[in-house]
Amino acid sequence: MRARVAKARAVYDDWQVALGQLRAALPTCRVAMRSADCAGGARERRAAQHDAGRRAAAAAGMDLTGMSCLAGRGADGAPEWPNGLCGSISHCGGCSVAMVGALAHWSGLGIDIEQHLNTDIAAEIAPVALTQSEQDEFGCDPLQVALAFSAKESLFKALNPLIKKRFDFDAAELCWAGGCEPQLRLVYDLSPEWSAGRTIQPILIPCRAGVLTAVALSA
Amino acid sequence: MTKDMNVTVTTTEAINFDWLEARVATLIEDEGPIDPGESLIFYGLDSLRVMKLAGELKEHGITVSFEDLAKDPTLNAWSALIDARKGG
Repeated sequence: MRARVAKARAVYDDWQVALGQLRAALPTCRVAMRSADCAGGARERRAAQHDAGRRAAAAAGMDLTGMSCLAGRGADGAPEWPNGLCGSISHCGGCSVAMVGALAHWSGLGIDIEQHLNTDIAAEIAPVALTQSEQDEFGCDPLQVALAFSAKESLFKALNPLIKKRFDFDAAELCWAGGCEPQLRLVYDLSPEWSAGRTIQPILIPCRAGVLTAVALSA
Repeated sequence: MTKDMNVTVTTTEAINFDWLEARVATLIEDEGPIDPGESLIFYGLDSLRVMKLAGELKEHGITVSFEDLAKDPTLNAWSALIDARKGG
């Protein structure tokens, strides 16, 4: 029991390094993380994750607005934000993170955290999560697969509420402009405004606990 | 957690409801019963695990996208989807 708590604490602390980098990259947003009790069966763990996510959102919203901020839950399970705010929530193991911003600054915000992938899982999900172009470029490199997967999760969370349309992992691909700047390039038209070839710059932060990605779409 | 996700299947296995139920039980890391009509999101099935299942099915020659699975994440819906894709 004590070892499990210590490990959870260490993972939580590892994430804080990445959260610090995200806060520096997006100073007008607020980001908070809360721990979930991962004891019990699958349903209990999921309920604890959900609760931790809402507590993280409340903390981030309070930090941004100075007022109580409770995110609701839509029919699809996605959070519903109070008027004037946008954001997203992500869960990974015993940690839940929320990012909140003002609609005056941002039209959509997406955040995602994932554990590091091992080589077997990376090889298994690469053919489904990555486009052919990404597979040609990244192969099954676990870090690149995790970053591409997570960045697309963040893109979905940021863009789906805007265009009110679901889209799959083949809708965008991660590429490195000039070899160093990450970009998500839309592969096909999602809406008149979000058409094939449009690029979005994601924030990619690998850390000891896993990978953290975010997509922030300006208002 | 990662260790449990590493359980692999062989291509000789029959892909049917029992296989699906067993794979999902492994992915959500719970030995309790799963209501086949209830959203697997409530059992903690996250995007990565849905993607992993899509990858496993692809290895078995059954192509379903993440979105195919995500839009109705229940055992009943996935079983029907898999049956339809096997026939296709």
